[in-house]
Amino acid sequence: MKYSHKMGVVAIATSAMFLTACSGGTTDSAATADGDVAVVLKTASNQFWATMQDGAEFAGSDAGIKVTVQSGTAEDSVEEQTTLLQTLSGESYSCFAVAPITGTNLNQPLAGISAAGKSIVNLDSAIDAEAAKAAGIEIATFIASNNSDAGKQAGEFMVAELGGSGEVAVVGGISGDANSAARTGGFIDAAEAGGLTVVQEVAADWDREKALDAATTILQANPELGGFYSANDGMALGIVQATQNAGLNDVIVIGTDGNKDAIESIASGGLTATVSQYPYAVGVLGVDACRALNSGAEVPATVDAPIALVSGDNADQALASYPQPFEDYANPFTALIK
Amino acid sequence: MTTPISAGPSALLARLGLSREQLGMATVAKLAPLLALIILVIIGAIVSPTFLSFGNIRSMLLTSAILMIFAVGQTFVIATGGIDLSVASIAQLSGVSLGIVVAGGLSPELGMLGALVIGTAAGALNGLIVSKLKITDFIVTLGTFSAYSGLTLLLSDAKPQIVNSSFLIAISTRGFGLVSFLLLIAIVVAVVAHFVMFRTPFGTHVLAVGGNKKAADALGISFVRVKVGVYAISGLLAAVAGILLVARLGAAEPTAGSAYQLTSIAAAVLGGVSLFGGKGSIIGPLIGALVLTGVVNLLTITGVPVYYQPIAVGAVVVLAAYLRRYER
Repeated sequence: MKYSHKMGVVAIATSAMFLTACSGGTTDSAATADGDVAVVLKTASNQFWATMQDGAEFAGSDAGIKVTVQSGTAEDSVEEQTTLLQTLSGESYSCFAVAPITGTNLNQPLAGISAAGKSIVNLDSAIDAEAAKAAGIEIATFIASNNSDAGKQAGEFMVAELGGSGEVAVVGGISGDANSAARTGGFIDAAEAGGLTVVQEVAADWDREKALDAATTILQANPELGGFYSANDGMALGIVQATQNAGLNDVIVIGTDGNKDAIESIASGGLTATVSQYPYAVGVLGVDACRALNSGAEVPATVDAPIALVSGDNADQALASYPQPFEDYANPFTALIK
Repeated sequence: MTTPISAGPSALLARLGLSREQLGMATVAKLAPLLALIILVIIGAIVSPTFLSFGNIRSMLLTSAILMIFAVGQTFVIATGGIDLSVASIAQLSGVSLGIVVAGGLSPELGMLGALVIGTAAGALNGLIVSKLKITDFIVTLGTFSAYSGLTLLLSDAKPQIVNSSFLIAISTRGFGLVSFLLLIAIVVAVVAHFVMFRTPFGTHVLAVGGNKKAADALGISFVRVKVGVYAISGLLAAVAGILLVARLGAAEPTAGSAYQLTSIAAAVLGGVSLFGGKGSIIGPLIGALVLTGVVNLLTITGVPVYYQPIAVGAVVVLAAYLRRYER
């Protein structure tokens, strides 16, 4: 039926031409304008990133600029995140604040963003420096809490709680993830320096259920275990469940992130402690960095975001000021915004 | 036998033995992919002022390129009445083998060659098992999907391997205006595939085996050669897609791209390829891939929460399959 094929081709050609012509003059209309910020995070299904989103959106509405936040459906939706940034990069945002799932998965769209002269702010998870350089990507600033410091604080707390001797186990996130490695590395160094023995280290993919299963197995194999360190709160809560299931409520469990449900668990005696990384503050700092860059200022290459250990002593204080840190922190960008 | 000079609609109907309604819907079904694209363009233009901007069209075309390549490979297999559920794992396996070669200090170009060979071999294995052991395609590729995934995790130790190749970086980040290099590669693949499918004896055999296996057997067409051939093509194209994924992600990720297992089939079905075999085109799946990518893109730029994306994709596919019913 060649007749209908031709009709179809003509129909689509004319529609496409008509519509492209119509919209040709409105590419930079009300939707996006100079000064608008796009933020790409890992996934809103994790409270950590959802809180970072809240911080970024708050900073935007506070300053009266448009902040668009997009994230993937899961912690490992690698290509999905790449596509999200690719789509946003085709619009007219002037600054992009991104937290890539892997060290390199956003480099393809970031290369285009740098080539177009727009600014890039790296949040929380570092973009691989060598790969960035090879692709011609210029990163204006890297804002993150110091992950190995966070692990170290957890390690020192564990040493204190166990009185300087005992067995501990470590549960990391996705195998090979740099942040996870920095946290567990910092913990292990501090724990061993303090006289503890690390009997096992596993990777549970940031997943609560996997951590629960892993912890159950570890507890069965090491009945004298004194405590667990987890690279994030989601997994830590799974580990708490495992200790409760085994009737071993004295086992110490320390998480990382400082999510609300983790702090609530501390307040009610479940989780022992967590190292808060204040994703809210990172979100605020990220948007402020973009504002500074948009106004033409030079920004520092790295900025440390605040961290704090939250345990039974200060859990109530932490909850009251959640999601903001309960102590003041330095925001180097406010002075730079013109 | 003479046909009336005025071959108007009623003569057409008489010849085809169809009622007016059936003819209308058959046309709609045939044009389903084009119609879907037109509707998407219209809705997109109404709902968002930036949907049809230069930047966004470029993004959509770039993003759909890898899916297009998977869909073309899938089309060959589906045209024989089969289905390839292992495409995503073959892509991951190929990508990881590229990563291993690079990690070993050898050139990325050698790694790419190795990846293509491995992908083709993995595909050919699928074809052999299906045709020689006479097990149904669905089951075989379901099994090999699992096996190849496991092999990929084993070889990579479940860790990503960064691949810094200036060639791959250039492919993934540059192009001419609207046409990025990724899209160019997809177009080249499509042109070659179209030639193979519709201008070579092999292509005719592919459609014959899918359309009417008994007749194909009677004509002496080798079932084994056709099956091994189409699965090898699917494996080769999955390897190409796997290499482009490595280029896009900057690293060989052992678990990235799993979604393509289903979206490659969805794009082919959306593009008019019949799951029963014997009927298909190459341009159809390309349009199908573009529509699927466009739907996700439109949802992203209108700020719809990302969790609606899979729902929308599913709805589009089911709708397109529904229109299939009206095809003769």
